[in-house]
Amino acid sequence: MRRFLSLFTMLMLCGVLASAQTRVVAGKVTDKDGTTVPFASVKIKGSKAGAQADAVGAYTIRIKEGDVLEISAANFKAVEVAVGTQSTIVTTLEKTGELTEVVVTSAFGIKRTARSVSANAQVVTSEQLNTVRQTNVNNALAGKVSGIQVRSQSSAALGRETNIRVRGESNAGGGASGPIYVVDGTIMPSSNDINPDDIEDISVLQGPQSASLFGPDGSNGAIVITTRRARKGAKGIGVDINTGIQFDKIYILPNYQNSYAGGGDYDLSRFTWSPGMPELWKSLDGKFYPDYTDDASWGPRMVGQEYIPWYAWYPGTEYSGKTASLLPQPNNARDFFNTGVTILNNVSFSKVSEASSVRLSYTNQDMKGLIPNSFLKRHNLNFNATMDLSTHWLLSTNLTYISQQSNAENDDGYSNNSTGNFNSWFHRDLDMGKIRELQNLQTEGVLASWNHASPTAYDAATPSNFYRGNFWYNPYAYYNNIRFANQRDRLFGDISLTYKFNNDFSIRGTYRKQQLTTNEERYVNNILQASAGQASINNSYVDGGAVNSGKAMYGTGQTYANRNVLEAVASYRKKIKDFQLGGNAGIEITKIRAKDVFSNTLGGLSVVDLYTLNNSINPIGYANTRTNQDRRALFLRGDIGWKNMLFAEFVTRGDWASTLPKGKSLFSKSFGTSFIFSDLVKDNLPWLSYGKLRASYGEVTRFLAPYALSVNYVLNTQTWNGNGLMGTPNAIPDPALTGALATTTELGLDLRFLNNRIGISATYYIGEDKNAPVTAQVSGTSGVTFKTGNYGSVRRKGLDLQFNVKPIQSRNLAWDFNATFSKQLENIVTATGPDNAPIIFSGGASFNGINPPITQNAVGQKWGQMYGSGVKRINGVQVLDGEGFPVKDPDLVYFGSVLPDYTGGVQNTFTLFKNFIINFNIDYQVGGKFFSLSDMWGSYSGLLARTATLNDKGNSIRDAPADGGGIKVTGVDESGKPVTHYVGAQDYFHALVERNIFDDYIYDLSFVKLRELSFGYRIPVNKLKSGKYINSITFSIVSRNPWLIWAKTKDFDPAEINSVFGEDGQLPGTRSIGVNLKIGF
Amino acid sequence: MPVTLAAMLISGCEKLKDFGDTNVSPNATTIPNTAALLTNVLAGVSARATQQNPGYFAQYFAETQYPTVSLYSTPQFDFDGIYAGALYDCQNIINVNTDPSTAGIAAANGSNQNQVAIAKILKAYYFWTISDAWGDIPYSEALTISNNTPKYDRQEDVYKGIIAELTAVVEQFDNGAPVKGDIVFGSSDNATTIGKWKKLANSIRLLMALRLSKKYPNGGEYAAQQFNLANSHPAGVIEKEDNSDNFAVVYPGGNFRSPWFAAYDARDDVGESLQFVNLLGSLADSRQIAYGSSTNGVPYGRDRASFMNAWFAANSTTYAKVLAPNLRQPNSRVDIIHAAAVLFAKAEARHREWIVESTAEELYKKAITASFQQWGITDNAVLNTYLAGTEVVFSGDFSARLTKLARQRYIALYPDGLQGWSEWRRTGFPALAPALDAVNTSKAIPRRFVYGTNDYSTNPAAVAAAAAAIPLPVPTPNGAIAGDTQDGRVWWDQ
Repeated sequence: MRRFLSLFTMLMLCGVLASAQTRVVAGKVTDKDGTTVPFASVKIKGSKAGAQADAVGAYTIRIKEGDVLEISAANFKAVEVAVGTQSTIVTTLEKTGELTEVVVTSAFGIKRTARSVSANAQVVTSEQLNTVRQTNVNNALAGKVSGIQVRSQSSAALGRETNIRVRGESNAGGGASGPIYVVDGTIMPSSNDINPDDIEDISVLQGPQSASLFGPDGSNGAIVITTRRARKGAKGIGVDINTGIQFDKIYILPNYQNSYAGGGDYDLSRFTWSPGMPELWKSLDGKFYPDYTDDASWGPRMVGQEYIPWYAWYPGTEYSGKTASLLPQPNNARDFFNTGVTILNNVSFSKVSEASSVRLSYTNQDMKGLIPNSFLKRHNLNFNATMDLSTHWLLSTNLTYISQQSNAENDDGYSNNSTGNFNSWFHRDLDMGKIRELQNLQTEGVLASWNHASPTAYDAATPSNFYRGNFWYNPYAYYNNIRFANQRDRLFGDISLTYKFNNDFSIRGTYRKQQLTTNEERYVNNILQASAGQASINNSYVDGGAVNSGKAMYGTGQTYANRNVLEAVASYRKKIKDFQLGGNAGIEITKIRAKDVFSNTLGGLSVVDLYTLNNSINPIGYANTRTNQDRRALFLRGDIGWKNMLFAEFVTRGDWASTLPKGKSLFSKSFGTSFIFSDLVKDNLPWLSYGKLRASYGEVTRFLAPYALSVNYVLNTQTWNGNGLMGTPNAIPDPALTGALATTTELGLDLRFLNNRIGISATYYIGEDKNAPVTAQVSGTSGVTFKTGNYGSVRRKGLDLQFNVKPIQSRNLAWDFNATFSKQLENIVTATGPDNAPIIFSGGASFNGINPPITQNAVGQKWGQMYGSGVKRINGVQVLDGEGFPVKDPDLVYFGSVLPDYTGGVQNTFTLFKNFIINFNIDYQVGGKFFSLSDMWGSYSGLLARTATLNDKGNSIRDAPADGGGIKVTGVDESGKPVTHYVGAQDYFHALVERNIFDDYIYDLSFVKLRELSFGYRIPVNKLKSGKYINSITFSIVSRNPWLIWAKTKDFDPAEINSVFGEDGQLPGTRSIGVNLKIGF
Repeated sequence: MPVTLAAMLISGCEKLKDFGDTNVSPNATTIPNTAALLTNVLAGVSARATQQNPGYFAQYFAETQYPTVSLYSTPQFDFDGIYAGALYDCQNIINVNTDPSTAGIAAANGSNQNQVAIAKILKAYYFWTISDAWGDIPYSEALTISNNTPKYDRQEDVYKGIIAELTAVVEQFDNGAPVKGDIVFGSSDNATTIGKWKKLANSIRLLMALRLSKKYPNGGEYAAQQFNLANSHPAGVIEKEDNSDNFAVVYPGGNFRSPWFAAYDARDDVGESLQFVNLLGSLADSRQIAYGSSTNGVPYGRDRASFMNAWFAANSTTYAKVLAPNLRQPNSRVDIIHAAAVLFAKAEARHREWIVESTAEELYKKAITASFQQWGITDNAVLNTYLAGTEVVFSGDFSARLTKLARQRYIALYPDGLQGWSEWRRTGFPALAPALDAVNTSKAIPRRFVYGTNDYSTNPAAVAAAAAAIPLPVPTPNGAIAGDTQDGRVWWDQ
């Protein structure tokens, strides 16, 4: 390292000496708003000498007094500037009315004009991104970029990461393979720590030709973010305030039945008081009660009859010992959730002087969650500065610090205590108002629950066994008594020093750091341990799930992750006659370190309500890992352009890493070309404003995880009377395991017509991921269950389309229309494991021989095939047994792929009377399947509407078949003869689960969603008195997810599926409305 | 300048490739510790004897809340986890102790020979229990990591292979250093420890031999021969009535809890079946005090909607949990191969005149005595009254005595569902009525486990070949089909 630094210094010095004798002038090129104009061409009139401005409009040029500069840029009118004695030249250009040239940002901050880029790169500006102010980058991108599928998550899960699929999936081993996020050149592991308020623009790089410069991290595409900085040319101090408040409400919940009450008994039972029972209950003698203990809703029809509600048995309330009327509570699940409130404030200051620019931005986000007691608070500080130390030296820094505190369980797995309760196991007669009112009620030291025991099971010796919940707590009481406190501090950014030898050649050295430290604490209060018999508590923190079941717990964990990068990049850019040359060479040295320690109590707490590790009844459970990884890379890229019309580019990169086998390295190369053919036919085809053809080929590298090359034996954290335990790892590396390359070939056409009012961009790609390292399941009978080797191959072909239309552009009405469409023509797994057996990578929780569907990759099939137990069919018709129950197919049944067939979106912007702006953004997805575990249990337990319909005879399917009720089931018998049966509803839905028949619970991922809607008003401040101080005021009313326009299932939001294969207790879809005020001083 | 730059780059390139030991995990070792592997296997070895699913088929247990397996829904249970878990840990002990490059390191944990012998006995036990449940299984080609698709061996070959292995292994022990990590038989007296392992090997061999009685019913045939050899081996078998030689795990409690304690930790899914409680009641069997937490047995084979939900609501606090609370503590003991099982086997072998030792009645009484003692009933008066009961006393014709013997063994094997179910399949006693609300097509009690989904996807050709070799059962239950079904029969059950 030291050697490298000395080399760098030496090069810098050489430059200083070389250029000290001449007069050099620095220049800036901006538009009339002060926005920089990139890549302007600067020529000295009557001479061959010239320069080209960089991406932020800056250039330096060697001149003498009396020279005249010709300054031109695409889409701007050329100007001539006479040179006097000034040391800086600021030139303002006027637009020609054509589109502003878009700048695409790639690795190492290399910026290129969209004209010259040969692979599909889409740029989203901050205006497009934040039509509705979002707290998450991924959600903001939904529908706006072709080729990506945003998999959002319910906003009830505070701070949960959403993920993005770029061009489907390429990992034959399953699992998500999302893009990286790059903020001002620094690679971020998570999209969550990027503040949309600080984003200037986003370049979405999908083709490996664009992403290859990032090396192995960018192998699944890159989302390259440039943060805002102070605008050169702006006067005074710029202050922007952006403040907003947003309210989230529950939107999508399953369609419940509202006719039958809770329990497993159709009849109410008559209560008979007997000595030994509480005196309070005497008043209930002879009254009727439902089955409280069974957490299903196969109970009596609710017709307002008198009954004993669950809370009447508990002393000490105004309802004690009193009956009520049994009535449906259609909104009980909805009523549970709070209105979420998000307050988002941002203030930024910027100042530009001749030689420096500074921007400081602070964002405060305060979220109150939809689940009781959940919150998330975040402080985000972003600082950008550049300083011209001299005409040669430039110092620059970007720093972001984020501090976040949250309390959010974010559990939407099976049997979680909100949706896992309401959608899978619940009573449809429960009044949520009473549950909320009685959340703190305790009797005999236990919390009251709607799911308490039957009075016939009351035992005076152990009264708490009656009062406690069976499977479920009062849901409010649950959330009152757990705490998932999380503190995370993220620091990332860079500091760089650039030396410009001259206008053509510069060297930049950059140090980057990206660090995350977290501290977590989890509390499960003792009262929960006492208050239920068989409840599931989310307390398997790091170790010992079984030992901890139903127990109080304290757990804590600390993590530290650090990624340091040192890079040096030499850049060259030169214009020679009609040719533009550019090139970069560099070195990147990366150190990645992670350390963590987690621990929790096991077996409960000795001293009640003392939440410390040393209060653990059993020896504590813990985990402690350290992960080290070093990487080094060299790269070289170059480009050439002719007449700003024909371009070619190449990139090569060599990667060495500690994780690869000794002596192995990976070399990747890519090249591409683009041709602006419209420049040739300008005169013949005046209606064609822009026409570009592009073609590219690229390779990206696939790396290995640290320590993946060895069989690592880990000791169990517990000992058996002092004897250590060690198991043979179930996953071992293939002896030949190494890294791999993936390739993509891409063809594209960009066209704009009628003075840029209509635009279309099309990209066709073929991606081959060959011999990628994947972890494949092998038969455990070999001794291990997984092998990691270069087994996986996936081939992808697809089409990405974008349309831009400005149908109306009149003085008082402008309509901008933008549409994206992506179709994957192929996403085929061509190789999987050592024996090409399917790789199973996802499945629901299985128990007692009930195995929900699995997701697998099989050779020759589309990625992400869902298979599962299903009904046996003869010629497509289900086979029924003698009683009318479906017969299980002995083989697994194919249900479809979890990948959608196509995705896309539509954005509309209307500008009325110049100051009113209306935006609405729709995104959609068609095809793909998911399995709903909630739906399976919700049907099993009689909660969902389908369990209480009428049959063809007009009778309830819950009535006995003998009385004309029952579900009409049609099919064929084993011999293929058509049969019809009537089967009791409860028997039917139980039989589906008991027989592992899941066909009914497979749904389509298709949806059309109005994702964003906003109405903004730009207050014409110039006409107001305050105009002196205020530059702009924009007020907007915004709504997110206001309308799930269409979906094949409206019971669960298919846009917010919580796992790869589907959902297993997913939090509900939400919608929000809010107001936002943006003031610029 | 350019020369310097080039020189620096070239020398830098050499440095580029050198990462030292950055990729050596600081969290793990690459050479396994054989003592820790052994402890790991033994810590989980009771799982085969405490699993609930075969216990539902044997009707020892009934599902309280969500009857599925006990209604013979058609679940598929995977065995690949046992291979990759305990079985490969055993194989790894053998590999490390026999590979010349690591045997020296392993010797720090005791005699190489003895470590290998213990691992082989444990392997034999696992293979035996897997084969009894599924039938044909990967055996001869299993556990060699380089072979991802081992073939399925016929159960006949698996049985004969295991028996041959056990025959050899008892002769393999040497007098070397005590084996570390032996949390079952390990003691300060190495000779006693080794003796117990040898008895275990002989006992498994003897029990396996008897299981072949349908295939080799007569004295002098393969089964009787092997039975005799195991029984007469100088190292002996597990038959002490005080149960001191039993292959049993005593849990330390804390984070290693008895599986029967864990089964009821915040769950109420399984109970002693009403049928089994009734059987014990009809014999006035004192072991009921140990076998269940009450005499309120759980009705067997009824579905939730029509019956169990209402039943359980009224009986949730009083139903008979498996084992009395004092025997179901975190630090309780689980007997895996016990004297009663071996003595009953000997009694049957004597009854069949495979062996000449003692009398069948004597062995039968000893077996019951051992069982009573195992469950803490030491009052001789209670025992003698029981032994003299008309339904217990060893009398009647050949088949009546065999029935009584089978019934007593069925009671004594509780709560080891796999052994109980296997003996029921072999002998047909006691007569069990299938679940009233059975959901399978044949409505018959399952005779084997269906192969798991994991092997169907990872080793499809081999499992398909094994499935094709399973014949239609005789007599064929209504609706039963050939192949890999619950109605198919394992080789020794055919």
